[in-house]
Amino acid sequence: MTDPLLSLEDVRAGYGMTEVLQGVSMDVERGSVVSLVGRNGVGKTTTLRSIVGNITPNGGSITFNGEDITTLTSETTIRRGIGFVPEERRIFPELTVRENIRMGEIGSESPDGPSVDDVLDMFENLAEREHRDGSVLSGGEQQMLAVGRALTADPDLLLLDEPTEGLAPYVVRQIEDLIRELNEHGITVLVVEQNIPVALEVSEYTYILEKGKIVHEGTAAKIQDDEEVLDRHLGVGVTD
Amino acid sequence: MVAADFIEQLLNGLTLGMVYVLLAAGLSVIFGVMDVINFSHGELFALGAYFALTIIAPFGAGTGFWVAIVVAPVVVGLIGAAIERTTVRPLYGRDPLYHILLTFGLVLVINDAIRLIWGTQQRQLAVPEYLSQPISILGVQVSVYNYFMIVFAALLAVVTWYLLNRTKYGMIIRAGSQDREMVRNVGIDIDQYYTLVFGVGAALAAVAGIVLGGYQNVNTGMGNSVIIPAFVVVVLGGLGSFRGAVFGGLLVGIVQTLMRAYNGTVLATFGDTTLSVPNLEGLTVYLLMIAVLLVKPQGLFGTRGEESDGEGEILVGGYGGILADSTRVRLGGVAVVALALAPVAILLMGNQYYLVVLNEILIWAIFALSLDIVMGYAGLVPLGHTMFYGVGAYTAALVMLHYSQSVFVVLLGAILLCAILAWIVGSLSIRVSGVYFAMITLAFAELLYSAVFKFDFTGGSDGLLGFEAFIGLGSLGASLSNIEFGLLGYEIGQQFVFFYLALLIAVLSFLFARRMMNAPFGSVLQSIRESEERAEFIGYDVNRYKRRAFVISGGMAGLAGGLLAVSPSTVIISPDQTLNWIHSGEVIVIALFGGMGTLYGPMIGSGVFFGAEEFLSSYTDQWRLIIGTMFILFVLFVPRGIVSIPSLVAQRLETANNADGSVDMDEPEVRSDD
Amino acid sequence: MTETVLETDGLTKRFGKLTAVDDVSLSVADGEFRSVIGPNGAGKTTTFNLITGALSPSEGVVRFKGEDITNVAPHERVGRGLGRSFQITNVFGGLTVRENVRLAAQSVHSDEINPGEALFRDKNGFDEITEQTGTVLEQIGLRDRADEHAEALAYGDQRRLELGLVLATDPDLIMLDEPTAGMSSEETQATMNLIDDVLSDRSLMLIEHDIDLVMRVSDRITVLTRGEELASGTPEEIANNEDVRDAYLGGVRE
Repeated sequence: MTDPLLSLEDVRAGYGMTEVLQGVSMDVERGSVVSLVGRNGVGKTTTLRSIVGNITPNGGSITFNGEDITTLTSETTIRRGIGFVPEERRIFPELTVRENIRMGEIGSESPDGPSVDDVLDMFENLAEREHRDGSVLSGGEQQMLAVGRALTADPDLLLLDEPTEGLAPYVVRQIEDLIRELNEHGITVLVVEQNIPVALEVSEYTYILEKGKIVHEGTAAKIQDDEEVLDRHLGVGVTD
Repeated sequence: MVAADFIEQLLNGLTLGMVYVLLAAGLSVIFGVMDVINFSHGELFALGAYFALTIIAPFGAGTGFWVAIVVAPVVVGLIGAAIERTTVRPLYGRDPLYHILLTFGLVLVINDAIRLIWGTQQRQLAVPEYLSQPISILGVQVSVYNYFMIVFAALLAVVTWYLLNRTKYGMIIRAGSQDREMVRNVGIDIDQYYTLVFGVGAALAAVAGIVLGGYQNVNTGMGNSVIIPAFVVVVLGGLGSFRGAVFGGLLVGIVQTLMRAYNGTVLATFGDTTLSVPNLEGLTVYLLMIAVLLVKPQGLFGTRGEESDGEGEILVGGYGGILADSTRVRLGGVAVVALALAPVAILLMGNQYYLVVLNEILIWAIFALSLDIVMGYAGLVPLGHTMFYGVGAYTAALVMLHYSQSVFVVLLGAILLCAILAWIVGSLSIRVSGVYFAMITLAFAELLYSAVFKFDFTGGSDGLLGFEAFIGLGSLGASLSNIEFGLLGYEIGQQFVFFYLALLIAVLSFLFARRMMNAPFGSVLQSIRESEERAEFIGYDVNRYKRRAFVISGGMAGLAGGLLAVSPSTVIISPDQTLNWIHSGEVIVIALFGGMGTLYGPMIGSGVFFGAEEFLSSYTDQWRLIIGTMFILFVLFVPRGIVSIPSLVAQRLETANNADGSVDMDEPEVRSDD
Repeated sequence: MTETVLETDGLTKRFGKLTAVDDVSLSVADGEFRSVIGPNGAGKTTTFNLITGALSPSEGVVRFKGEDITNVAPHERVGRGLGRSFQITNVFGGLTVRENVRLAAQSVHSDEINPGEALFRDKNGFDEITEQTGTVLEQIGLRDRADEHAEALAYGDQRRLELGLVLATDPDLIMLDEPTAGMSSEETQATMNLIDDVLSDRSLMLIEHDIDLVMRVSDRITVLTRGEELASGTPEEIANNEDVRDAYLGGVRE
């Protein structure tokens, strides 16, 4: 059995004195789509930021493609083949659509990735707005742009932080389709979501985070049917 | 012809404006991308002109000029890059105050280096013959050089715009000023680009220096004279905006020139009253800056929102010191006694000059103490504190000249007027925070500096003289200069008497400040420094406390200024001696040297600063270079000042004994989303 | 009939086109423990900030102990008895534990200090303030560490200190902003016990993500979603509320 593409082992991390992650362990198998869910405040974003290097963990280790990336800087980690689409997308508001995508291309070490034009071909509505500033795009378009920007680096692993937040239902469907399509092209995806149906819909395997620890994991299908787990960890709890 | 006249002035204004554009463009982009306020930009400007002199020399005026205008900026650009790498880079993440301090230190170093290498005499930059010809177009007569400057600078601005907006590196830099972390998150190491930004900014400043140097002349004060207008432009246009720098630069250049040309001109006459252009030259730009800061701090084109402060903190000196409080009190007592006996020792040595130095130290100790109240305790960083020192001095002189010579009345007057001034300035300034607060206080200080030149009663550029203090009240006492008596064969004169007066006031000021800090009021100030938000939410009206701290601080600085006027060494109170912005920088340097937040630290700093100055200047002319370098080293390595050295040493010894990891306390805070 | 200690009426906050809080009207009874929960983007923090005065509303009214405080400044609300704790410990790090608490106690006694005393009298010379400081230190269990610098404390102790700051201002209603963020289960339990010990005789309003906790300690729960009030009721009522369940789970089983 091959090693997982990404592996977190007992990661402890936080901000200053607050230790948000208190020992998180999870694996993301090559070629899969894995979701990390939990109520807000539990540490989902902190987990992604630790992987990417925006935060340096206080303890534990993170392994990517067999390499220990725990203490690497963000730039270095990204160049190892990780695409990061953060919460609120964070596209560059005063750069054009084209320039935004180009930024991702510049940061890439791989010459094989899709070019800016390739990405524009993938996303019709972005191509239409090629020379407009990022700030005039709609939420959904910004999301696509953020993903496109990450794709030009030809990543092995794509990290998505709450990609459907604040988007209309039909746009959410588009995102779901996009994730599936990217996965079919061989990209491994780790998606953080507060929207449970979406998370369970797109992923094969799910980790549930609560109070800085993984409290449950399993195939998405199984969790979907397990009312008790859903209520206890993601809903408003079970009444005894 | 009025029209031709006007167009000539317009062209002059445009010329000056383009120089500002080049300066401000670099300054603004540096701030936008790196969050660094570069005070040394003016000296890089001067450096460009001076390097040009050296390059032109072997070539002669004709070709030399063109060679210089290409080579000198490159050299200065490289120097800028080196500065960034070695001194600015280590300071990322610290409170912006430290950039101000560091770049101020660089001002001292570079300026003195210029004096050392090129001497202090004013020089002429040899411009090709054909450029300095006068030319008349449609009745408008200016020099070809004017057109050259405008065109050349405009070309450079266009090239810079092109580089920023149409190249890969420019794009990265623009992205960096929009979202620095995200640039990292796409795999680009933004730090490398900072060096580029700083270097290019420096090169642009150098070009501006060469261009202006050819227009006027090259002198050691040229950096000083442009840096404040450059900041005005940057604030007006918006920190971080290239477009704003262009707009602001031209606006300020034109307004300044037109006001200078037309001030006093009669516009219209209505019966007995004449309406004329008020003599606001020099004041308008500062008024404009204050207005912008109050109404729209991000400037006309700026897009950056409210500052992200809270990422840095003012590092105070006495925290965690190794000496017990009682020991410190004892040490203080010993110091005072030693000081009280010092004049005796000096007398015995036979040279009264050291007494003069001691007097200066005491005056500045009080000034630095006043700064510590707002900076080290309330956490506000004012860049214009010399305004109170200066106004205090002027008030004292005026009182002595026109009202009463009694030293009590004089000093009281100085304190009161400065307190009122501080109340006004403080109320307006605390509406903004961080870098904007620093800028607005600077603007007020510059406003006052320019204002004293204009009025007769302040003596204009000559200043005030002929005042004298009277130690006593009413008819009881004696004029300071009359106090002279012999004691055991030694002559006791006014320096002596003044020393004890100053010492008494310094000690009283210190005790007052210390009492205040141990009282409820002072304790609240400290809580504001620690966490303004928390202080507000345990029920303190933070703004009111800040204002009051500012008033007390201003009053005390006024006291220091008043003492300056009373001092027997002071014959003239002039604008440059009291209100020049460089004094605002000096007092901050002194406070940092000593250790902020301790009250005694800045006072010690004063002793060290002037003592070092005295000591060094007897060995070399370049004492500012040495102090500047020392200061930079302090900012980098000993930010808590001299008073923290004992505990730093103790700490080093301790960590040598047990190697342990350090807790990372500088991470930004996160909120889970809502 | 129980008094209402806090009441909001049509509270609304807009940021440009975004309506963060939409027509929220709730009322908290004297002595009640009310929790406010809701999924991401629900508007909990904004509502919180509107009540404490950190933000001013676009529309609506906030009434505290019967008085309209909509336009009252934050520091003054504290003076009237509306206390607030912070999510990430915002204590005065460079000052000692004792000084931290004393400052909070001092703020509510400021009427008793005349201007001259404020400037010149030793801050430790006010008996009532000193006494209250001691009492609070005892209550939060930090008497032994009173002379340590706040930033040197362990995280859990800093949290205690934070509560101490709130307690020292003697509030009638305490707004708690995610007091257990970043804590382990054990620490959470300890914190809640502490809140129970020292604050139980006052009214409490809590924002939290930890649902288990909220279910256990609250008298009543208000659920916000997309800026609107979805439901209010006892923990049992909320747990059995289908709409609430959907808001969190998004109708998982189709």
